[in-house]
Amino acid sequence: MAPSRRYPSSNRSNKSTIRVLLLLSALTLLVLDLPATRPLRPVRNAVATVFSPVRAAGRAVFSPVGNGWKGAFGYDDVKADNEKLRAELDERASQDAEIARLEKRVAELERMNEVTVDALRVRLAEVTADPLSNFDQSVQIDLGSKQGVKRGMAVITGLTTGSRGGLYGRVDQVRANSSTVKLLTTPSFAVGATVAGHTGVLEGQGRGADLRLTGISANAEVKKGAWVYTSTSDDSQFPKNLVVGRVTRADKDATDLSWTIEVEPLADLGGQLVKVVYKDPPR
Amino acid sequence: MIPRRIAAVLVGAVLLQLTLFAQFSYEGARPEVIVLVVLAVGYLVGPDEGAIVGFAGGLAFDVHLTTPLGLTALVYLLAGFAIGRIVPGTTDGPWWLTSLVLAAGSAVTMVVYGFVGEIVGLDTLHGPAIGTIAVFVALVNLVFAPLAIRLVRWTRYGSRSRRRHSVYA
Repeated sequence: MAPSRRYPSSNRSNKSTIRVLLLLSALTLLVLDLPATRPLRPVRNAVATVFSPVRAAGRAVFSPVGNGWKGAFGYDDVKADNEKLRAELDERASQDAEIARLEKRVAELERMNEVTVDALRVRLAEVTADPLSNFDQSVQIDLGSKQGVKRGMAVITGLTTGSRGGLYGRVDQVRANSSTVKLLTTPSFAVGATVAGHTGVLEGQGRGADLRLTGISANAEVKKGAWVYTSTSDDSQFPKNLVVGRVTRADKDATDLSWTIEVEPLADLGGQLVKVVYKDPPR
Repeated sequence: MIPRRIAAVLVGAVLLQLTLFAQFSYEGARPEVIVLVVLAVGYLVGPDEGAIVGFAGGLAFDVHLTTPLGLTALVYLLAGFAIGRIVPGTTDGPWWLTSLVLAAGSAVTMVVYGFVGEIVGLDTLHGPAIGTIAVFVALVNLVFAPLAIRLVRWTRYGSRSRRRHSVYA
């Protein structure tokens, strides 16, 4: 007798019914939780909060294995980055004195003109988990609602207490002691941005790809290498003048009315230390 | 299939995915071992069982992701069912052939996931190259497939009765 392909099933019709019900359940959940609505977010946050100690323990146990993997497959990159960073550090050290002088000058001018600028409050956070799946472009950080983090807050890179650093992403989900950050390269990420004194909309185009800035008037003098900042509008989602990156390419669109600009992010999206900017996004 | 055992295997796969395998990536592609268990059940036990395990495993993974709840459950459900229904083969086949089938199934599932995500308005094809993801996941799952096969056999009969109902006689 030919071997059976698989084990016999005793109650096939019931299982078929279950199969259909599960398919409908998955479709229903998917429709309910599509990005525009997301009413199931609290449920997910609750489950993720319950699991977070388990995940933290697992990370602690397995991190040597992960570090070994990164060392084996990323050693050359790390070495090249290290050399590049050493060279940049020398240049930056010489710029610090000039920056300090300019900051002092700005403070004096603000005092003379009775301008008050609120200093941005930032808090250092550690990236505790990279994207969990191949189709999820978000990372986890170790700050949550207990530390005052709110959904929509900007996240930047850097180590110092100030607002220096490149725009990294936006807080997308907040749990008690951790948050999910959507990277600025995610295609659904959009923010107002300014280049050469003109404001447009900056959008992600996927991991590893430059950002795209559109809506900049053709009158603007956009040059390769120009710095791009977050919008200076009071209604902007993010704090003003956070550095986003540099222009790598600028082309006028078919109508010659505006620029389409490619922007290389300043932030190292593979970094492990970031800062949450404590400014409530506009409602 | 013994529900307690398949639940234990699935929970183990989810925990390993969230802790151990989340630390590995190559060119942005990451291992996905939950789908391996789902495909193993679908192929070795049956399409209906594969669909059920696919839904449960996908949903357990979904709650930890930022993609809409139900997307992974839907894709894994379809994967578990499809491999049991479509792929011709026997449960008595050599382990390496089953491993190759599961690895190929993993690659196809990743491609399907990418396209289903795009259909529902996500940007699932704008991350790492889909080809890289498919190949990387297939290779990792090829390595772990023999273990998955043994575990699925254990969920079916257990060690004592396996002698009488050997999958690979």
